[in-house]
Amino acid sequence: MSIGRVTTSQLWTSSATNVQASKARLSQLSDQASTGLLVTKPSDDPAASAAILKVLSQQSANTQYKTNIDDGIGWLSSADSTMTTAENLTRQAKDLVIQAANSGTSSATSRQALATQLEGVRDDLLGAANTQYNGRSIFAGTSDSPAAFDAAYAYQGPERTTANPDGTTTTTAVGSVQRRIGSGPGDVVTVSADGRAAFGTGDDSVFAQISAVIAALRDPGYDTDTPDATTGVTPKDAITAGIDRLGAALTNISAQHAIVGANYARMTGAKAQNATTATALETQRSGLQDADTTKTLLDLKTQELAYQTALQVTAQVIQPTLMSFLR
Amino acid sequence: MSTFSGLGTAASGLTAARLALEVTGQNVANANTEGYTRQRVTQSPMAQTALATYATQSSVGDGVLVTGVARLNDAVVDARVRSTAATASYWSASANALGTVETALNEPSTSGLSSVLNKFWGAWQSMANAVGTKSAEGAASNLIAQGQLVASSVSAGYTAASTSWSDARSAAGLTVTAINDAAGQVADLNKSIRALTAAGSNVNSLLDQRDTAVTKLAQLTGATTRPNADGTVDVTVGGNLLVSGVTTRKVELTGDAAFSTTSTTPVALQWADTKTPVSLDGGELAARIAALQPANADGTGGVYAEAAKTYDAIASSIATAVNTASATGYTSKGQPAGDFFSFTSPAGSPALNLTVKAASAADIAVAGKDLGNSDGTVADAISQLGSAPDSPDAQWAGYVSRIGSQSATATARASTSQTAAAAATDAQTSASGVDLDEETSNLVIYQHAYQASARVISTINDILDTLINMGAR
Repeated sequence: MSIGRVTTSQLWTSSATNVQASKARLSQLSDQASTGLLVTKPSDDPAASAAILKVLSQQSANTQYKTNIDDGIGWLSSADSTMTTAENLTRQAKDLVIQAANSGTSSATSRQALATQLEGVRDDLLGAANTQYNGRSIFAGTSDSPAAFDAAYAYQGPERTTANPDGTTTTTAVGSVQRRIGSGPGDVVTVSADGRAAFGTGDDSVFAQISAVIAALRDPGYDTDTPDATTGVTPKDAITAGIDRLGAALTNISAQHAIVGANYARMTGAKAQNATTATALETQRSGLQDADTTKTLLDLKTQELAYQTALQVTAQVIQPTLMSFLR
Repeated sequence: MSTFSGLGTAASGLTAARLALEVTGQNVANANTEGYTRQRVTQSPMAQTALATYATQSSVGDGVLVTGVARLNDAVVDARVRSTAATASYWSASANALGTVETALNEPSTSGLSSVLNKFWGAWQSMANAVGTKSAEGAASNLIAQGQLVASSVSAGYTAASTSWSDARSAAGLTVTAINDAAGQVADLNKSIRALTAAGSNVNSLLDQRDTAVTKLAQLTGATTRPNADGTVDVTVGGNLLVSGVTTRKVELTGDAAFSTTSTTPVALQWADTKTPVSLDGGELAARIAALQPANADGTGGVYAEAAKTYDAIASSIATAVNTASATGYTSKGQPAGDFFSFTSPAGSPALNLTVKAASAADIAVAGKDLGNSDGTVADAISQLGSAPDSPDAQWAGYVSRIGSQSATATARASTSQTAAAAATDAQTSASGVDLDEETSNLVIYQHAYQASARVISTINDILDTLINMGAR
């Protein structure tokens, strides 16, 4: 605005410019109010848009971690209940063997009955060890084998044999099923149970131990205390030895159960943490991207008033010229 | 003093008042005409004629003399309008180009490329979870679909950038035509003005037209003007004469009209006669040509080409990262895994040719070496590629924030320079615009001046009548 001469056209042009600017601001505020977003394009706030992209990506990852955690909890609760079953069955087998070692072996018929009972327990235990979750064997690690143990009780999961300094070798199961619960390298939780460590494999397996007791109970040389042709152990000694072996097997299963329990607890903790993170991230995103509703509405109302005033003033100012007053 | 001299004086007043009323009429008629400069009759008292030298008494003068019709403009303000218009159009065109690209990014949102990438990485994690289970095929189909979505998103982004480039190229061509037209118009007007000025005619309306055309040239090219003695103006662009008196030099666009080959022959402006480059001093065309430039190493090239380059870079880096990680893995059937992504044509743009090669779960790398077929460590490792410092996600986020700040800067500068341009136009309107109040009061003044002159004549008439009829009673 110049000092001095003010012309009619200047008045019109500047009124139009001012009304236009007021209208543009009104449109911007009404956009913010209707979308609820303060930042709808990068230039609205370049620094905030980079942060928003980061938060959106973290939100997306966090949602995925929630899926992973839920899936992991499914695996772990399945493993947990199966381990409880396996412990009970092993304990039951051990009780039966103790019974066999003590009193219940007076006749061939009662021995046969005990053997049949033990067979049932063994088969149940093998069934438990071959439990599947969503089509995958939970004790077979990362193997795609449908069962963790085959008919000869051999472990089917991937194994690795390492040489010890004393010349012997140690074979362990490798490849556990893991679920990612966060972005860090350590943010993975094992959701499978190590079937090889829990149940053993082949002749060392808990199943083979039970089978050995069953064979001893059915041994025709039981009454005469004749040593078995292959093992060179008398049936009674074999049964007594079975008590200790099943006791050791129970310890192994319980040890693995404890690991599953610890992982389960970690997973449940992760689920709670995940929900907290989700809330925190949403708060962060909202703080960066969302418009403050109260402030936006207040601004909108103020701007509406300013716009109406601009229109009113323009209407009043541009109408009269000197012509209106010269009659 | 002659008996009748009073009549001549009053008659000159009548003529001057009538002419002034005509000029007022012209001003009122053009109150809303763009580029019209108000005019005013300039008049001076008529000196005593030579005959009066022999008069015995001193004379009051012989009436009024209309010396001309002045065009009330301010050359300094006019120059300021031109230079601010050049700056304002430069930044406005820059902000428009950046705005086009920025809007096409569709960020930050839950449907832009960053979100597509997030979903893609998530699908790898679901794949890691599902391997060996009954959901494996479903997870694999989802992963392949997400991979295809990544491919189609970068391809759509690249296509949008290349379409915008072509549109901007056509628009630049139209701008060049407008420049040549305006230059031709200035030269034609120069010719008319020179001829009419020599003949002593009023050229005010032609000057208005020429000023409008020159302002248009300044807006488009940042041109500056220099007045000549014969009433013509010269228009200079980048130190060279675009209009010299009544002659013009034409400018033309060079460079390929196809986006795919623009990096080898960039778009540039040159003189049509000598084929030497024109260096623009700003203005709309400078911004348009800058936006059409090919991409360069430090990311300051043309906005469209930089966008396309980013999509290409993302397509290449995502394919390389995923394929390299895939190569270390094995499928759920225990076979070494092949590439997940491939390019339909290795020579063309990576963004346009990116495609998913894996067709089913059997082609997807999930397991590590000797870890069992249902292992998911490699799929999990791939799912983490997105959070690496040089990941496609990081490249994209960096680009989005760069475009955002460029666009915000350009918009802010456009707004500032428009304010300056508006202030200059305001000052111009203040100096040369028509004020109806002023014209109305002039109307009254000149009307009364006319009436008063007429009354003088009528009074002298009465006096003479008295004198003539003195002895006839």
